[in-house]
Amino acid sequence: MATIKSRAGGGVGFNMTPMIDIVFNLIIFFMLVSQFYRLEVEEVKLPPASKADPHKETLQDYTQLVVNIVPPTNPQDKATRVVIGGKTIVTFVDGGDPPAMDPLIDLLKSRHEAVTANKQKPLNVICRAGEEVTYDIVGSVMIATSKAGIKNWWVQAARPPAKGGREIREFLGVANGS
Amino acid sequence: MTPAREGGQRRGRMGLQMTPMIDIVFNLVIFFMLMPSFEAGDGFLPTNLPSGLGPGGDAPTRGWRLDLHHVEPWPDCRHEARIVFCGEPVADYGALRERLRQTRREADGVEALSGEPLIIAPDQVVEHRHVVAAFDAAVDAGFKDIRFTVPK
Repeated sequence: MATIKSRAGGGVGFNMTPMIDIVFNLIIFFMLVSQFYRLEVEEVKLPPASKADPHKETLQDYTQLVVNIVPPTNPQDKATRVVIGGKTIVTFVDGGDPPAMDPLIDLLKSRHEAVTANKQKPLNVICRAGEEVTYDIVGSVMIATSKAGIKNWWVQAARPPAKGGREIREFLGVANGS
Repeated sequence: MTPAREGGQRRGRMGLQMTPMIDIVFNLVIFFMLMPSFEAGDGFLPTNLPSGLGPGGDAPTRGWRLDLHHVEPWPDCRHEARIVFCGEPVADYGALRERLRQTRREADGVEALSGEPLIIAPDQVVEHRHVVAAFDAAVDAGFKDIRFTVPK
């Protein structure tokens, strides 16, 4: 906070240092926050893929819709959840009957229609599935996406870290891709 | 507080203390030096879904077929997949990568084959990481038209 001090002599002192500190902190904060576009992202361990590309330029040509497929989090839990925007849309129970996919199809369809009606950039579904999720579940979500009329399907995967990064990540105990 | 600043205040002038700023600048330098190492380890493998995808669709008749068969795991072992490319078993994803590159090289010399799709056909219970590994190998080999069969 800038302080203005009036002295007996009538001089005014303006202390810039804390203000510069705050400004730098704000810059760092907003730079980091801009990286975390992933508010829609659930914690899953993504499968590795050396050819997975961030597609930073192409990504902006689409309206993103992140579809998380979250595997069971503990041995007692047998539910694999399809989560969009923090809400569980469909739950697959291991050994149970396949769930009705209508809620997912309806949601995807409504998003697709909204994007088309608002003349936004085309919708792009980003499939963010945990590496141990079985293909019947991923395939069911693919079918639902296709039924909703969405064509763009991007599979999100973990890229190998840059040179030297692996060691630092391991040292800090950062899980790869999660 | 440095003597310079005290003097500055005494004279009623603006004081600029450099030390915290240099600290912050050094922090920024360190941050940007480390950032590339941590930079989002995530990327995308893009593909297009055909319209009308579903169990009722016809199986594609053209293209190379890459099957991923589920292998029952040993207790406490990870689920594995058996890789079969055009009817021939492939040892692992490294070998698959090489096999796909070779196929791509051969196909690029033949006009009739150059546009043929690669069809990845995983078993229902194959884990997603195997599908992504096969997809990754196909992208690495230079295949552009990569399709997936879906569960019935």
